[in-house]
Amino acid sequence: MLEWAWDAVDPLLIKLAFAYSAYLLFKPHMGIKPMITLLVIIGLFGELDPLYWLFMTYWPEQNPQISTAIYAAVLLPLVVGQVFIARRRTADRVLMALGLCAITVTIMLFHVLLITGSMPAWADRINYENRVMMMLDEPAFTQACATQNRVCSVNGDIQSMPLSDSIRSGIEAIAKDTEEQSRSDFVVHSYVEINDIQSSDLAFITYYADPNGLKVIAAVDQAEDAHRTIKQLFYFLASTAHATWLVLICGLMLLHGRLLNRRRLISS
Amino acid sequence: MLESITNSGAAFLGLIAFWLLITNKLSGGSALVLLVLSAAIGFSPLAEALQALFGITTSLSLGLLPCVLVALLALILMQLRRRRIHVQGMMLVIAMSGWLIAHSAFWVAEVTWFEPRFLEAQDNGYQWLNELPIKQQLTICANASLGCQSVDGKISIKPARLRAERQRIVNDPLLILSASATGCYALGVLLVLYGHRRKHKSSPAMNAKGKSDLHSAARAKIMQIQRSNGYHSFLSPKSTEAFGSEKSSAYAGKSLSPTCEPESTPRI
Repeated sequence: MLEWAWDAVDPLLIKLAFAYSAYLLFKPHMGIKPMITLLVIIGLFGELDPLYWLFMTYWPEQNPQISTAIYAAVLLPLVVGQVFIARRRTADRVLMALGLCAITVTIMLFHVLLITGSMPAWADRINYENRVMMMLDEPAFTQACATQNRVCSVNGDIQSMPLSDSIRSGIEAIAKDTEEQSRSDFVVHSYVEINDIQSSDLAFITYYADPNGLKVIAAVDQAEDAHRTIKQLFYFLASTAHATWLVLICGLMLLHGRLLNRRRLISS
Repeated sequence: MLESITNSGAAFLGLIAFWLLITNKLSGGSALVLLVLSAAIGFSPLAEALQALFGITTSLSLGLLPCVLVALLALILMQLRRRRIHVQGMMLVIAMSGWLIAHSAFWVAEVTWFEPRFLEAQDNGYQWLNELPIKQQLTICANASLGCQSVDGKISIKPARLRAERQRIVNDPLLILSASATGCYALGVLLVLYGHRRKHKSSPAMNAKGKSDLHSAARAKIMQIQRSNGYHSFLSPKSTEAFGSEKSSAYAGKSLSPTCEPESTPRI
């Protein structure tokens, strides 16, 4: 079930929440018609995000998913602000503000616990394994690298390592830094180029320099596996949570709308 | 601790459900009593006993799930039987559905995806160690503080170490998510129930039993309009007696609206 394309579903759900919030900035209530219309529009054209495209085109070194954070940073204060202004406060706006807050808090919590929690912890575990492997002498080390499907170097010849250019340049940057600092016993654990729109050019790198020589291990397959596992987990949980929030909020908005209409009908 | 919080939250939702099922209303005092009782259940060995009783061996604390499920079904049945919307029951059904979805998602994600994949990666991690002579294996184990143990002449990493890694990377983040979701839903239910009750306590839309009643609201509105027109209410069964009594004398001298004669006022 988790193999499904949750990473395509969740951004659309978030954009749908943004679209509903933006609609309620201009209209006091939301009925079933605008709800379905916005759902269809986001479903069809949700991928065409101008801010995302701007980031991809003009700031490729930045993660384009910052655009989601920018939308949230603009919309959240506006939607929540309406709740505190008596003449703009309506049941639908209050519910949407609560929903948007819940969605933002949920995604932040998932991000903190999984992306900045589990992912580096997994990298640390792999790097510890690599560090233990580096205790071996050269023939055993080479053999262990082959067994574990890792790309290794024992003589400091980084250029000959069968890696992509971006991973190799990452290792060269570590080497340059080590030389500049003239460190004789130096271990670097790092991972290269990980964000969730990228599924290649990932590696957990362990770089160890001591007076006897230089050893480098790049765990490419392990990094891709860890990245894929945590990415799918993150998007599955986020999609479930966001879909639940949206359904609850929309249900309550429709229920309130129905009650309001009946009251109006009776009082008129 | 986290498991106990999750158990307490689950127990709280279940207890409120049973309480509403029996008494049909929830006051602040009774909610507080239920909160204390659920904390006592969650932090006592009873939760573990329930977990063992239902045979759920997952690390997530689902011991109280069946109890909550039964309560949820009972509440849905109660809703179906009633014509009027019972606001407290509705809120609880919504919150419990959300909580169940969240909890099931955490459980599915952990059991079917995250833990198996992590365990596979962990099992493959030190395979190279088995290819070394026993003496060298022991030396590396000692130098790297791996805490190896010998089982049937084979060296393996101590389960305690592997368990600690799994706990840190897989179980703890999901347990934190589970505890926060349960805590938020339980507190959310409490706040919404309290807020709704407070809002409607002074409202004319609340009948004598403290229930939100659309007809009461309509009746109150009509009474208000008639009073503002200088009329006494003709809606109560005693309306004919009241006409000409001390109450109606308060309006003596005021002209009656020609469009609304007392005799012709329709009963609602």
